Amino acid sequence: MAEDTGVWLSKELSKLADKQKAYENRAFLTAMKKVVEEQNDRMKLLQGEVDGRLWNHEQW
Amino acid sequence: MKTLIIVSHPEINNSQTQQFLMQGAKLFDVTWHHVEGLKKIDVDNEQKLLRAADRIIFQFPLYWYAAPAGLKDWEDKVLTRNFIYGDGNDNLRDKEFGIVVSTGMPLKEFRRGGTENITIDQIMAPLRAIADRAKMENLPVFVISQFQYLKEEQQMQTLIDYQRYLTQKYPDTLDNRQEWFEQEFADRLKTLDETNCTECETILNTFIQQKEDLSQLKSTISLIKQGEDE
Repeated sequence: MAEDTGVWLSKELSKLADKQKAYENRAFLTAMKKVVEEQNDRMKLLQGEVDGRLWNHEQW
Repeated sequence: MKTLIIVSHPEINNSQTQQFLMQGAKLFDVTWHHVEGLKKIDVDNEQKLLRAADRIIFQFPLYWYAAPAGLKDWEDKVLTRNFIYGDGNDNLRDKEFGIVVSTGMPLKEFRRGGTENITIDQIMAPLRAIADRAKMENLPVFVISQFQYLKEEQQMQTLIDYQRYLTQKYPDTLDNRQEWFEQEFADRLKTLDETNCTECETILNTFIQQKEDLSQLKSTISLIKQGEDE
C-alpha cells in the first residue's frame, strides 16, 4: 500500500536524522521528512479525488 | 544555476542571523558578496558579477523600513542607468531577483492593523521597481523574523528553506521541492553518519517512487476530467 510506504519512509528519515552529528544533515533530513508528509497528504487527497470522480453518479 | 547573494550588514560578524545564513550558503556553489566588506566598489567588477548570475539575491536586516545605507550606496554606484536599461542591452533581463530580509519585529506586525502597519511587500517596493525596470523576474521575499527567538527545529527549517531559496527552481511547488530534495539527498549521501549505502538508496528510491505515484495519480485525474468534459 502506498500509504504504508509513505509512513515507513517518514519514520526512516526520522531515524536517519537522529543518527546525524552534523547539524546541517539533521536539518536536511528533518525537512525532507516534512516533504514526505506532504507527499502522503497529497496522495490521500488525490486518491480520494479519483474515487470521488469515478463514483460520480451524474456520470453513470 | 548561478546564484549571487549581495549581502549588506554594517556589523556582519556580530549578526547571529547573517552568520547562520552564511554557514547555510557555504554548502552550495553560490557567491556570497558582502558589500560593506569591499575596500572599494569597483563598478565594472560588480556589474560583471551581476551579469554572470542567474539568480540575484539582496540580503539585509531591515533598518527603518529599508536596507542599510551600505546597500543603497552600492546600488547608486553599481546600478547605473546604462547598465539597467539605458544601453539597450537589458543586462539583467530574465534573471531572477530575490530578497532575504531579517526583521526584529514579528512578521505578523507587518500588515495593515499590525503595530508596523505596513507590509513587507510595500517596504520592498523601491527594490521591486528596480527589478521591474531591469526586466527581471521577481521571487517572493524570504523573511526571517526574530531569528534569536526561533526554536531549534524552526531554525533548522529556516536553514533548509533558505538553501532552497538560493538554489531551488521556482515556483515553490511540491514538484520542485521533491526534485530539489531528491537531488540534494543523492549529493549528501556520502556525508551522512552511521548508515550504509543500501539503507540510503532504499530511502531515495522510495522517495522517487512516491513522487512518481503522485504524478501518476495526477494524470489519472486529468484523464477522468477530460472524460467528464466530453
